[in-house]
Amino acid sequence: MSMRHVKNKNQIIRIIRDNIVRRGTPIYLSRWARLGWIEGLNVDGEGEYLFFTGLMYQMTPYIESMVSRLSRLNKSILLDIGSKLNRLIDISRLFSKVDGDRVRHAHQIIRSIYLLLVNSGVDIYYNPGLDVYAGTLLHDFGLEDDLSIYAYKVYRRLEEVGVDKVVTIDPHTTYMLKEVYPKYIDDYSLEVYPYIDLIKATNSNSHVDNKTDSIYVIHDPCYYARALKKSVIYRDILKGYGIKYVEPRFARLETYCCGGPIESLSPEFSANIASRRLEMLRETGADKVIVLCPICLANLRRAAGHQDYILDFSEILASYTGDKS
Amino acid sequence: MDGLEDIKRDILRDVLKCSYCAMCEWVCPTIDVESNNRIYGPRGRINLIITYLREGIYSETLIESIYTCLLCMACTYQCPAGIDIAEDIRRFRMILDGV
Repeated sequence: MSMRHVKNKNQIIRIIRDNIVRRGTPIYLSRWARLGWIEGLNVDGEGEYLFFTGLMYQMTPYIESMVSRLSRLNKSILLDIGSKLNRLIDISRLFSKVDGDRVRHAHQIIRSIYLLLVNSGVDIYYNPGLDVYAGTLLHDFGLEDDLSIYAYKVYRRLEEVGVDKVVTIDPHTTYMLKEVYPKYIDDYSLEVYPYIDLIKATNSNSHVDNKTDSIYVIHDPCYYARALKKSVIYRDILKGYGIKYVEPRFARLETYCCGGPIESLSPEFSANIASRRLEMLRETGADKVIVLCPICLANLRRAAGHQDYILDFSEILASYTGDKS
Repeated sequence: MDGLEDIKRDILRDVLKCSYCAMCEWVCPTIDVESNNRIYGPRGRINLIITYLREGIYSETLIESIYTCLLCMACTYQCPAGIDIAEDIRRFRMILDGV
């Protein structure tokens, strides 16, 4: 790495940091991308649990767009100018041209999770004003001062309107709200439940016969498997649904990261790790890969080169229950 | 929240438990794709952190090594000395942020 690349690293971190602190997300996210999953659903009202997407799935199409451009921008003087301009205008809008199908796919995943919860009898509601990014990248980059202020704001906003239980839909947001925020906020009392803890482990709509002979391979997300110790729960759900799966090399507690966490700083390095992981998943001979994290979904999908080989856990379950939107 | 000097002391205390046994390396995706170049593995990262915290040696290699860590925690669960490797690397980024 040359000094030029060290400087680029600092500039990318500055752009992401400014976006989170000033605009609430690391990269630009259109209103449609953020909220389009709601269309046709009745999500208003009150309930026991606030449905908290953390905007991670919505960001996946933008991340994919950004990473492909960053690979080129990384060696460019434009990054230097961009990091300064970003304080005034959101330069991540440059990456806002995204594949509409990818956005719709993200919406479909979120809807699937929402409906799985509803059909499991979980009393949930949604409030777009309370659904924000949890600040994972501030944490990962070691931007502690920014994170402590950001986490405090997110928590107080929830507390002010009386939210005491949230359902999360991805491992990173879950980890932030459940394990990281309490370290920064003295009187933290939010109860955080990943959706995999609340959905029924059996298919209640057994009349829907979507069962296939497909064999899946599970790619455990690092934060579910290691930090939150959830790798048994989603396997039990798959068994309950009668879904056949195999294990790859490096599974459960020893899962192999998809490379996604460094995609913004080292996109080529990240892609090499994803390709390596994909090799391991392919060598099992499984028909498709199950992921449970939007970062894994984006990174492995990019490595695979097509959408259908990498599927989110929720959309597979939804195809069995008939909840697919 | 701890000050930077407290953080440096805490990290150093933890990473000095390393006996360079290499049990952490076989699970690390970054050393795996970089042909076992040790700066991309947990043991190499710990060594660079110690060198910086004790001798103040700052280099491009240090930055490359620390910011390519995925914070995936695979190494943390292998360490027989119980070093919280991923968290030490993440907190070390706080120190580099101020450099």
